[in-house]
Amino acid sequence: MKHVSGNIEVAGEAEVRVPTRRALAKQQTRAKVLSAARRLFSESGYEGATIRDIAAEAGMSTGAVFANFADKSDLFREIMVADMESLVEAMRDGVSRGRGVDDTLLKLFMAGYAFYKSRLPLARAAFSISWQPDQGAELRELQPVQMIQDLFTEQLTLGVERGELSQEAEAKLRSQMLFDCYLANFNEAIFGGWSLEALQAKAKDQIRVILAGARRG
Amino acid sequence: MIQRDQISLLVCSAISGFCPATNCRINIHNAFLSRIRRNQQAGAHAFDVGRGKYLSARKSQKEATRQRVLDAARELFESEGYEATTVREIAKRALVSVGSVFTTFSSKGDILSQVMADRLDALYAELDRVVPHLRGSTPDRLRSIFAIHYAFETRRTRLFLAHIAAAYNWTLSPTSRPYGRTPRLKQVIRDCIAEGVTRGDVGPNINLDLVVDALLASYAWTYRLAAWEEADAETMSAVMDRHIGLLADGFRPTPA
Repeated sequence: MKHVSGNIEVAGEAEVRVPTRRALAKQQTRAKVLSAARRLFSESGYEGATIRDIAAEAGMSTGAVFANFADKSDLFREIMVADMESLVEAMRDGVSRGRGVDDTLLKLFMAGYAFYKSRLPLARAAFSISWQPDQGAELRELQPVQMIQDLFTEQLTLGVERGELSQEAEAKLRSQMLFDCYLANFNEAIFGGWSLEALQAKAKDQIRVILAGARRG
Repeated sequence: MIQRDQISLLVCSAISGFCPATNCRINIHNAFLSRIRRNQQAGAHAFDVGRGKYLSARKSQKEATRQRVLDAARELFESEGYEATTVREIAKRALVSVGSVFTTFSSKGDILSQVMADRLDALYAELDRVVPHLRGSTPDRLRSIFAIHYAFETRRTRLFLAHIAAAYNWTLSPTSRPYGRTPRLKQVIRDCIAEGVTRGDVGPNINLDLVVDALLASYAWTYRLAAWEEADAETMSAVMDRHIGLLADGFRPTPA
């Protein structure tokens, strides 16, 4: 956890490579709170999970939770950042194995669905928060969120450079549409219980339809 | 029901072609929306008078309570936000007991669903009247249909965003989750494109389901601009116009 070592260094122990026992204990506490929070957000959603519940689940006092996290949104953000960083990795991996623009985009879509397959309730909570004008701001400004969108745009730009798509493909705008479809399909996964195969078939068609106009010279 | 001048405005703009930047289209929508407002007011009146005659006193009282609860909820969801509004506050504002709120509605989510459904009834009743008068190319007609939606929903942006957020809410039963399942919009869009196939400006090989689905994904997620950047209807319509253009490049009939 990068932020923890960062905090230790700021605390004036920049030279110390091995964290002190106290720092280790703090790190363990944070990890315990985060995993309790992850469970409760998944079970009861963001609004339904209180700091008190999370503390109880982690077997500690609310004071101990607040000593490590500013508030509930801080906790949720931390979870999302960790997840999305892993997701970006998975997506990059998918992209590196893709052949051609359609296939690469499909691998991007599928990396997302495969990653969230086991944590759809958390995705559902994140969607709910992101639509709220006041609370949504923090989530959407997370760096990995931007990186994921950029991955979509990059594939289209590369497609144009390779000559698979026309010069007038409008990579940015078109990738926004793809991203919209990528997000919208989560509804099928969350509420429709769609399998990865069903999502893949749909995503494949969506990519084809959205790229169709960029293939005509 | 549409005034003659409104029809001619619609037709004129359609004949002169679509231009996203013109005030013309916005004017139409303003005229259109004020029409909805007038209908709603007139409708509410007729409703009270009309129903009162036929329903028993008890039933009409229940109906009145229901309407007061919906009005109070709509105002509170818009001013305070959905999450921050409690059923107790709704009851207080509607001047009814919490208990009587729950005899009519099963939950706060249920109230929100009904508020949104009532709003949409007015929107679609009017849309049904306007759509037959749309002229121009299929993409332009689609643009008008979506622009009407953005103009309508941004009149109460906060309420609408609450509606979207609530779609993912834990407390809602599956039956009270209308957002994302907008069958009427889906049908209007579908019919519009199917007509394009008949007229010949949409290729016959189009996969209707897929195109409709992609349009709805764009439509829905373009609202992120309202949630995140407080974008107005015009801004969102302009983005949607471009999305429609890109998709339309793919479904134009192939030159022989």
